[in-house]
Amino acid sequence: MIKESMKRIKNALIADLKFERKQGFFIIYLIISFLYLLVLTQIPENVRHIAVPLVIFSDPSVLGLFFIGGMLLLEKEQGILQSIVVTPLKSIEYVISKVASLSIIAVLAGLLISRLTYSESVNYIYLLMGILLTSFFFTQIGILIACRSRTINEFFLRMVPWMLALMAPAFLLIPFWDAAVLNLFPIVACLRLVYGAYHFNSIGMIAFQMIYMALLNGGLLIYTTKQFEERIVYGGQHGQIDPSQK
Amino acid sequence: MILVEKLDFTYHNGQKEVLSGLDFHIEKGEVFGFLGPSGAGKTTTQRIIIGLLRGYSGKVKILGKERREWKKDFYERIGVAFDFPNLYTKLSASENLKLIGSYYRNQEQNIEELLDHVGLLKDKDKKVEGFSKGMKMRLNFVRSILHNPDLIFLDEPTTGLDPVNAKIIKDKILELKGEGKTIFLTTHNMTVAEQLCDRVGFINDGVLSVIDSPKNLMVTYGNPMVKVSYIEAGKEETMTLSLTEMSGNLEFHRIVDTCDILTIHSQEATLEDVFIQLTGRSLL
Ligand SMILES: Nc1ncnc2c1ncn2[C@@H]1O[C@H](COP(=O)(O)OP(=O)(O)O)[C@@H](O)[C@H]1O
Ligand SMILES: [Mg+2]
Repeated sequence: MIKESMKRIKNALIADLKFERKQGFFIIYLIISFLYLLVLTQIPENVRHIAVPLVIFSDPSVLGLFFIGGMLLLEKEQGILQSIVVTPLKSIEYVISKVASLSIIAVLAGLLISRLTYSESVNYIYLLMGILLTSFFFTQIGILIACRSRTINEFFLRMVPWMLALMAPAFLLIPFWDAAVLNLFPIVACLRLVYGAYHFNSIGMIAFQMIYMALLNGGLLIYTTKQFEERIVYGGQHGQIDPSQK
Repeated sequence: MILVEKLDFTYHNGQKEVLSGLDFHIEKGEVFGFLGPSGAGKTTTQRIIIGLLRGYSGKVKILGKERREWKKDFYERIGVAFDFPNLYTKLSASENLKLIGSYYRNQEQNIEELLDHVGLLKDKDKKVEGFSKGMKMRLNFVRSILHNPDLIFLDEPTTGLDPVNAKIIKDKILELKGEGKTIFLTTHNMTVAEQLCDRVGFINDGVLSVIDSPKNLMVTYGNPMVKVSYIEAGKEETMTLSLTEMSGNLEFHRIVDTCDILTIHSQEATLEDVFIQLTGRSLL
């Protein structure tokens, strides 16, 4: 059972990576990473210490959200989702594969940018965990928004309030940089995790952030899978577009 | 294979009942068809049985179990081709098949052989976005039988196809039947129903009015006509009468006795004539 499930996830992951490559996602990622590199190498050393973690954090969060939306809606518009739901691939396997495919890119891009722009010591385990947990969270949010949208435009419109609600608490860090209670906001926990890879935080704090984000992601996975079933599998879609919503 | 009893369905966002009291069964090894105009409820019925619509009432038993009790492994055993070709447009034909095929336990089918069966072998490495509608539908069709399922659902398999493409698909359906597969197809084309189906159900406005073999339907409900062309007083005339009333029709006898007959053609009732007679509605 588990073995078959792993095999399906692996194959779905290969499919997703192939899809991302053919749709030009890798190229876009490379270009954006290159632009980051250009900017980061130009700014002064002391600003860079703060800018590098921020940029690396934005990759799995903001870019992840954009990409997952693009991906799901391209699949939706080409009708591919319809053909996937009549295969043995389970909804949860589909979600895991999507999340994994974007997390891989985020990790690669993050490591690359970090290596090329940051010369001092970095805790790579923290960095890896930070990027992964951030990516898992935001791609799942992206899937939730995409499940509710019919077109890419609609996705971007719906994304705005979500982004504002999720990102806004980060600004509380400006006056309350050290406030532990802010960790309860996923964006703050994620940001501090990535930041902690560069500027060491207390072990207790990092452990809390990791466990907290892991639990949040676990719960989110159950909810996202449910929503995917509800809105995509049983969405009552005929062919490409739901005729009732034309 | 499939047993449906008192199936009712209403879309959650619609007020009207889309299916009312459907009763039918499909036996192993047969090609069963739903014939009906657009909006009759053909796709809805298939999607309920396939498991993509919840909230039906009635009984839907498939492969020995109630539909609700099946999990995802159900899809190892059935094949589905929707009426719209759902394909990765940026990938090639064989990549499309490999990708979807990788989700199944059964990996024995030969992809090149499958593509060859529907005349796509030479296009296997071309991107689907450059395919014609007919090529896409053929690819969509073979994708549904990739894992060699015993039960196959085909929604309007030949709609929108030119005669050449339609024939390729029809031949393949008959070949599958020859292999002992069970097929449930929908169509609004009476010729397709006549050529492919062992039994066909007439559906209109969510109601099944009759289920029988196309031949029986035409014999039972069809009223074959006879068309006579003849010359009377130097002018060409025609008369049409029902085959069964030929012997008792005096006018017909007078014409045969006194006029020069040019042609006599018997015209069998088409499945569409029977459909109109039974449902009061045409197929288009
Ligand atoms: N997603 C949907 N929501 C609401 N009504 C729908 C939906 N899909 C189809 N219908 C309606 O259900 C009826 C049957 O449609 P359908 O099963 O697609 O017919 P067919 O396949 O025979 O053309 C039609 O009246 C159609 O408008
Ligand atoms: Mg239909």
